[in-house]
Amino acid sequence: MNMSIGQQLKSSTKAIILFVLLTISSTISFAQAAMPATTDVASQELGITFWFYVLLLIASVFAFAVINKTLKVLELTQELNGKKIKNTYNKVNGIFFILFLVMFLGYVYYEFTTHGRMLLPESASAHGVITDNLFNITAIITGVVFVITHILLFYFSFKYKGKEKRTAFFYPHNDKLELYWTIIPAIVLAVLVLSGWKAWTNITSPAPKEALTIDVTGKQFAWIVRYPGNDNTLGSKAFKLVNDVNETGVDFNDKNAKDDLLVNEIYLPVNRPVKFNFNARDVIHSAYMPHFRAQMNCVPGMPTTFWFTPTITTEQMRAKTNDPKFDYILLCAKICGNAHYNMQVKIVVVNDTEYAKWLATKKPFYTEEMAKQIQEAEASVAKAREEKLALNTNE
Amino acid sequence: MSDHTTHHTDSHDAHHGAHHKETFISKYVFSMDHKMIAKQYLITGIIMAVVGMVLSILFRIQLGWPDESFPFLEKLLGKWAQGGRIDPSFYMSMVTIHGTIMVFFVLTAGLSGTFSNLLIPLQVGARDMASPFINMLSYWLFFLSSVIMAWSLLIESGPASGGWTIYPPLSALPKAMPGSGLGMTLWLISMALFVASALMGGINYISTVLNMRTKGMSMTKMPLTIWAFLLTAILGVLSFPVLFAGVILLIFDRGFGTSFYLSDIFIGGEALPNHGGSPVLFQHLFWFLGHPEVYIIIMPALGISSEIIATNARKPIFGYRAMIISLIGIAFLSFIVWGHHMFVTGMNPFLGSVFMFTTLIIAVPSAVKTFNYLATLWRGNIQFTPAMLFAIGLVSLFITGGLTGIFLGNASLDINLHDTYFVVAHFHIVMGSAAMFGMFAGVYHWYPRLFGKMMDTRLGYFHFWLTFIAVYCVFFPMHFMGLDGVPRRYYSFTSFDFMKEWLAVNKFISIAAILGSLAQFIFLYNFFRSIFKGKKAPQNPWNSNTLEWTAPVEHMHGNWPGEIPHVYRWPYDYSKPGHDEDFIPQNVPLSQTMSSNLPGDYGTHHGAKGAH
Repeated sequence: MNMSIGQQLKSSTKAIILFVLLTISSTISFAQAAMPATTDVASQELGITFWFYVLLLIASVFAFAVINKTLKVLELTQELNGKKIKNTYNKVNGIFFILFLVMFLGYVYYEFTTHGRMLLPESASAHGVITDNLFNITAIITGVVFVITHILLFYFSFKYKGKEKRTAFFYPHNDKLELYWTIIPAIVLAVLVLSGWKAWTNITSPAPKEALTIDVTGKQFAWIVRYPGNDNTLGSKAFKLVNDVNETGVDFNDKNAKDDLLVNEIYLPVNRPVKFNFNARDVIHSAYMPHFRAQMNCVPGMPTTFWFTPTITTEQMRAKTNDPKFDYILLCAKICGNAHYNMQVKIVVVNDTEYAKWLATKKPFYTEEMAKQIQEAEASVAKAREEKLALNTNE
Repeated sequence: MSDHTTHHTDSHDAHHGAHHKETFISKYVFSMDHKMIAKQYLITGIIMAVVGMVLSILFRIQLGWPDESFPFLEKLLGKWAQGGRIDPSFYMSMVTIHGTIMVFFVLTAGLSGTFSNLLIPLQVGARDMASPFINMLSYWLFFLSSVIMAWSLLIESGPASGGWTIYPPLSALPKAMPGSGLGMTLWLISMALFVASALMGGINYISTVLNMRTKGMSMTKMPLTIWAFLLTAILGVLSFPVLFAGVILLIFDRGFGTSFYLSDIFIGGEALPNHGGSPVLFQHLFWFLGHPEVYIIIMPALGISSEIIATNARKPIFGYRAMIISLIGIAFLSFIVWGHHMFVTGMNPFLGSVFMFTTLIIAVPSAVKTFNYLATLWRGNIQFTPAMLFAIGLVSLFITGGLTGIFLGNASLDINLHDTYFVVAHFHIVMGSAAMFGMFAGVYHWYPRLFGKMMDTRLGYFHFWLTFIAVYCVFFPMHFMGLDGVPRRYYSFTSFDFMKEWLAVNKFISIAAILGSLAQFIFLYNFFRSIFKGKKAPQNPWNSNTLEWTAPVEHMHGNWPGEIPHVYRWPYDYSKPGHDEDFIPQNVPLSQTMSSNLPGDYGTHHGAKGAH
């Protein structure tokens, strides 16, 4: 305030020059420190784009400084005319709030109608229909609250913007009003909780006996999928048996394990409940199947499970989404390491006959040759362990 | 009791000012004055916030343009961005450190460290904190912990990279990812120091509020800021030790071969000997702090905004008692909702139902607070200071982010939303941006108290509007990505066909984030420039009622030159009918305002008959 406009301009120009110098010098010094001199065309072009952005930045800083100064001059002339700048700014910000309200509601509408149309297709599992329904009810209730509260918030900000002559209304409380807006949300939330709870108990109830059981093990960075074979019973496993050949540590002394299948894609017969047994062999993973509204963490040392009934085949879904390349997918949703972002396995939902056909093409994992390899691998692991122990005792 | 304390500190102060001269070190470095410690917290917090923001811009560049290379990134990051493309493991590190810094160093220490330190003694009428020495230790432990965390960015194997929640076994096994080596060790040491710092601060805040209030300052005459800081400190003192325990056990698992969290692991071609541990145990310990932590972040912001909204609407805060009760309700409930972070960890579904009930109950006090803010604005005479704009912005963000919490708190909906971008959108709006807006509001409002200078209003307006728009542009579209099943913490979205449609949206988000971050430089310029060149602050620039505005503008040890002012009324007598000004400070006796006194003023229920 005490400074004249000229002085102010000078100081901001100085700041800009300083900023430019700093940018240049720091870039150069970084370049000297880290970059071998590369002169290929691509990087040169990118260098040019980089400088373009730097220039753009400087230009916008400058433009901003000019706008700021102009406003400053306007402020000063207003004060010279004896008007209080505070009142002008109350008015301007009040108007901004009502403009913001309009733009904001428009933006929200745009988001819902544009990005809101890019969501997952309809649920491909039976329970997912219920949760989607619950989601929609919650979205409508919260959506109404969202719109009303925002209209009130920004409208009040506009309507009651500070004025010289206005006096605020001394209104410290109203017990009845407060009671209403405690009880009404409580009731609405109680309804949501109860319907959510009902869905939750159904989803987490034990799987039906006729369910197909599939064993899914997460490792960095892939999924190992094991089918039970003809007996529909998975062989037991133990992590001590894990080695490079027997990746999930299946105990092949268990006769149930002899016909187990290892597959690269998960095939599911439509309308038959499927129960996944999840496990992880190194760190926590999370088996997420968004199209089936299904997710469960895979925890080392703690088996978990999730079951659902797929209701729409891949072919049907391709038709529904009008996307011939559509595929169901199982992906990892729990941070698990560097390649977390690419840990997937395809899921294919088919009808019973196609499923039987696919199953027939799969050969059991356990063959005589495999048995030999596994024995060798176990022996080498055991040997390594002994050597390690020996080393420890020597110390 | 408070009377006794007052007299004691009075007599102490009388022979204080005149005698020993303060050196540079005792005044600016190892200061035991709460106002200086507040400034130290704030400036450290701002520096850490800039680090966190730069990290977020770097990984936004990766997410926005996953297929392009940026040679300047190689210049900046060296081997972490070979060929101008960010390395996946460094991407993970940046996400992790961004989260850690923002949650703990900025929004916990920077927010409640700054404003609890500044405002508790000034608003309750105390000469300083209960234990100024422990207060100093608290800051320096925080400083040390910040230095270690920032240093971990520079080590060869890279900083911690298992996400800010550092779930073992990922964080326990150096073989699982590079960041789980030395970087993770530094993270754990830094956080252990941080917990110690938070505890020292918290104990101080609680004892100061409970024991050192000036005469007449009953608990129900305290400003809502103090209530918020008190409850925040209680949450911190009760929950941070649990994180400490969790961290210590993790250190044992990493260094001493124990198996608290590890069992049945085969990694790097060999089976580990660990047996019997449970990774889920760590999640219980972590979220027992982690959930109260998000309220540790948001409650001070809510307290600050209550104070600022009442002052600038020139109206009493609507439903003062309801505000206190809902804060207490939120504080209590925050301890029994941690399981909603763990619906899909495989914990017993019955436990999931319990946590779903408690979680959705917590929405009720939050709703009450929102409606009370709206009622406070109604028929006010709103003065749009930059602080007020940020406080209104906070209410908007609190609503938007709070409502999406109703989806996530519902276990059956969470199955499909867990660890997706919907969660990212939710918490960045409700606790990230809303709390950050609370912090900005606090800085603009109490800057005159902190530095004795005024910040530039016009730059504050620019800062607010650009930031407010940027926040919604950045985080709103993320909800829809989450609803399409896009998981968080993905290095790129190019490996899955169904995520490719979001590439353009990611570009938009990145551009909005970059522009929004540039707007923060307006704040930084304004903040640091005003320390030296700002206008000198008047005694009470916002015509506010609370005690801090009665203390002299020039800081002095002991806060008030003479006797500490006594308190006669609640802090929200704004625009009281019958009074000639639109505010009556707390230290004005009822005998001086006979024309505006209400029957309720003499009892406890404030202005009960005033509302018709």
